[in-house]
Amino acid sequence: MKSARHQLVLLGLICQGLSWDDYWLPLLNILLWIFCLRRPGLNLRLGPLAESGLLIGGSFASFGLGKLFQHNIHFFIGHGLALLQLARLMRPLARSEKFFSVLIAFFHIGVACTFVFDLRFMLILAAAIVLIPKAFCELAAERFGEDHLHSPWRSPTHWAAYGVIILTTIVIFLVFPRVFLGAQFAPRRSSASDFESMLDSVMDSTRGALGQSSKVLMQIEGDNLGYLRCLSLINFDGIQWSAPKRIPKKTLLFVSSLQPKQHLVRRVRVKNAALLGQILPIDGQVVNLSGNFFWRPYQNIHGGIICESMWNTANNTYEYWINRRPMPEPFRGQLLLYTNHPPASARLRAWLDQALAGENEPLKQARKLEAYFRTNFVYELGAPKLDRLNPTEDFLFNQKKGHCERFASTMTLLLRLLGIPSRVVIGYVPTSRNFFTGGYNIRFKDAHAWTEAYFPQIGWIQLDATPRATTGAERWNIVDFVENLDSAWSSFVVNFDAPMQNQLFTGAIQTSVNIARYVRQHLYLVLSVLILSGVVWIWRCRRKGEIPADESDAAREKIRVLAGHYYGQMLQALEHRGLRRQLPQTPLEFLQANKVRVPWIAAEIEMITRWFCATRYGLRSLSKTQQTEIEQALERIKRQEPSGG
Amino acid sequence: MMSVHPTQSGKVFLGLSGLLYLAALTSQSSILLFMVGIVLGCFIVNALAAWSSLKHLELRPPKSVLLSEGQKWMSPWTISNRGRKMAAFLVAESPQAEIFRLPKLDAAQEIQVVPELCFTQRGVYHYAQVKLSSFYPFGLIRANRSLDLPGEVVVAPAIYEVEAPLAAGFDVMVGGKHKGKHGSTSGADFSGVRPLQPGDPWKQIHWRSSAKGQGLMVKTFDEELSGRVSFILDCGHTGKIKTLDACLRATGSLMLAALAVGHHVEWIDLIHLEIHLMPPLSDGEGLLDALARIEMAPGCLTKTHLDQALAGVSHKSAIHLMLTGYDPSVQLALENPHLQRRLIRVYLPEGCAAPPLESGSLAHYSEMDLLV
Repeated sequence: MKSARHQLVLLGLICQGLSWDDYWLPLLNILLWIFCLRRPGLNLRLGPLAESGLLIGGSFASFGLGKLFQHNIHFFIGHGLALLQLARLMRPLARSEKFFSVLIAFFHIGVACTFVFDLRFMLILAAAIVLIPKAFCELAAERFGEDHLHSPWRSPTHWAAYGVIILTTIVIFLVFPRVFLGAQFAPRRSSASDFESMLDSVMDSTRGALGQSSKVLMQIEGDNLGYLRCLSLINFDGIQWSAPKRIPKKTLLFVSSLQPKQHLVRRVRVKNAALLGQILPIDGQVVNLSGNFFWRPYQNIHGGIICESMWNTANNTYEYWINRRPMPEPFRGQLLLYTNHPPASARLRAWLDQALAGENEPLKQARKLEAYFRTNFVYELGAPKLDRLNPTEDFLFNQKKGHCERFASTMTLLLRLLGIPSRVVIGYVPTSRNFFTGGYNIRFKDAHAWTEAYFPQIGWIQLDATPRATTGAERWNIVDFVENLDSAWSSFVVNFDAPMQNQLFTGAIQTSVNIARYVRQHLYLVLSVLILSGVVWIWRCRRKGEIPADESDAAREKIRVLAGHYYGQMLQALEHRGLRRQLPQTPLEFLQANKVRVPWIAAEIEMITRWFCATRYGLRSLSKTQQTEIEQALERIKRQEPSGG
Repeated sequence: MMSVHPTQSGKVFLGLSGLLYLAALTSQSSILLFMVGIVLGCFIVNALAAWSSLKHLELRPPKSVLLSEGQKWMSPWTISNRGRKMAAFLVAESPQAEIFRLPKLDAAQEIQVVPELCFTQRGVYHYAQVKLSSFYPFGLIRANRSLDLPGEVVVAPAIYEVEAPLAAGFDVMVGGKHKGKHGSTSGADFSGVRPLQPGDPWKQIHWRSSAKGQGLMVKTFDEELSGRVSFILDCGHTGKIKTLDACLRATGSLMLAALAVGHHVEWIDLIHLEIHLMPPLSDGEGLLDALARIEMAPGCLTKTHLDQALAGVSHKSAIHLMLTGYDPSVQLALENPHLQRRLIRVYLPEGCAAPPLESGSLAHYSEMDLLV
């Protein structure tokens, strides 16, 4: 199990298992790997025909089972190869078979590269960087008769080599040209019930586990990110708001030339498209939209983007552009729908008049109401339920606290009482930034409700009556860190495409130009530093180069003396046990004589004697490892009880 | 001079990297390029480490040596690492065979390695062709360093036991292994006494016989004679190296047998047409060395060359024509009237048919035998 090749095979088996599901098959492969290597009493040697049968049979079986249980069938050949790998773990392999085994492991890891896009791939990559060079080294060492335990690569100090490998990996990843020529994998359609789950998380935070979940729903990069709208709720029955069954469509107009001064871009990565409910959250007037997990997006008259169909891919991303300064849109739809309200009591009207005393302009009235709620009310999750018959007045006059839905609902109602067309909008509010990317992590608990009101000449504007939450500063935790890392990984690595590459090259060229300019301006200083560095480097290289002959001779002499010292200690220890070397006896004769007399320490005596002869007569050298082994052998000789006779 | 190039494994993994890159082009994300990067990183580390392994290595071969075909070469090579870093996965090889391989050589370490080499083919193997390679650490890239070492291994044709070839032009020679009809006052084999004659050396007086009263008697010995043998060598007229090697084995065996019995041996090859004289009883090392160095020269068996060679050898000696194949020019050359009363034998490879020669006898040789 210590063999790097076996470990690489294990990594490959885990990666192949991940193509099936996230837990069971990788776990099964691990257990089979352990079993095949340990195989208590079982020594299975399959012939080439049987192994070929296993490969083909395994492939077809995985294809059939994959279709039956609706798992990914793209990599059915990989499962057959996995079976072959396991079978071959149970017998010693020829060198060519070991080589083939490493190739199969490569194939399996490559398979994982096509669908494991989250942080798990970092673990796979780290393991691959460690194991692949070791496996290569083992294969090469076997050509020289060395097994994996004595491979020269076993030393843990090859950090420079690992550094080169990591650096090369990064450079290759950054520099190699990119073109996507493939097709998407088979999509998984989102289910209808998922549409409700998002609503639940907003409408009543006590319902559904998603409401307070810190789980990240999506990650957005972009400047000046606003509220992300999803749904507009127009109908109010006195108790609850709801969206109309049919919302007229509006043509989605795309602008052909996008100007950074005029338009803002957002790049969004969605973890699970099923939770979007065919709606794409956006934060403005969309002028361009593209993505890889939806089909035929369209806009409704409320400004929301809805897709005809949506599916899940391994990496759901979409990008959209909005106008920095959107043009006021004309009112669309039936005015009555946006001003309809249940009859208001006299008390409510009186309160409204008092709250807006002295203010006649509708926009200013709306802002005044917004400020009033923010100042005089308290944001509280899990506030007591409102009066079923008159929830608005109960909230307004009695409780004066609650979550965002109450504020949005009340605000909208009051605006309608004033005759201002308004609606409740639900969506998300970006709050926390990603430490690594600077983008926003949108979590389930960021779900929010607010009000939008329409004013002639201005259009629909956003009003958020919810006071700021007083929950205190968020504590850092490991989950957040992992989520941020995952987002960074996705942004900078998984989605590193040709435009980003061009941007990188452009940046690198600009940096080079700046450096060149700086060098030109400070030429003498730079030259002095370079010459000094060069001299130091050359001096160090020469010092690190060849060992001078006299130093080499001195080292050899030292080793010779050391080996003689070890041999002398061994002779002393044996003399205490009545084994004395006679003068005419050569070291090897003495060894032969005592192999029979003290067989329990014969191996140690032989090792020390042979090293003594090798260094004294064969001019061999003793490495640190060999010195340690000799010292350990000496200890064992000294610890042996003196012989009885 | 150092060079680096990928090994077979390296080529496979380079191909795999190409495939991974193509797969990356069709994948939703190009993280497959990480795998490409790891492989290429290993190539870079391999190239640098292998090159660094070889840089400070010093290889000292044994002195030039003369071996025979099929003889194991047991002379040790000394390899030392003068660098401060370990060198590993080292292979020393020549174009013909691998000399030795070493898994690891620590810094400042020197060891002696005995190659397990057996040269099966005659020839001269220069140490300058020896190169040192390293695959350290991954076996993907091989760094080679040509060492340009002085010295060579000369592999002479294998010698087997044969009877001494026929000789002619016997002359008196001290130590000669042939008995003459006449006696001599000196020699190794005592053959009797005779009355002293003027000019006989006083040291040879046999006093015991002389005391018998019949006058002074001197010891006589068997006459020691040695003959002359000339070899004319075809340097591979047929262009077949195996036949040439067999021919040279037969030639060497016959020449050494002739030397062993005390004949004067001379030989000439049909390319250089230079006479080489071997004094009797010499050890033949120079001869074997020369035979090892003979190179294939197809088409050398012509009447002109034969005439020149026959004219160059001693006119008293027995002529042995060592041929790799029959050519009508042999018959024409042997028809020279001057050769009519000469002792001539023609040696051809086994299975090679030839018409009966008017002046001369035929013999055949095989890989390791002579069929007279």
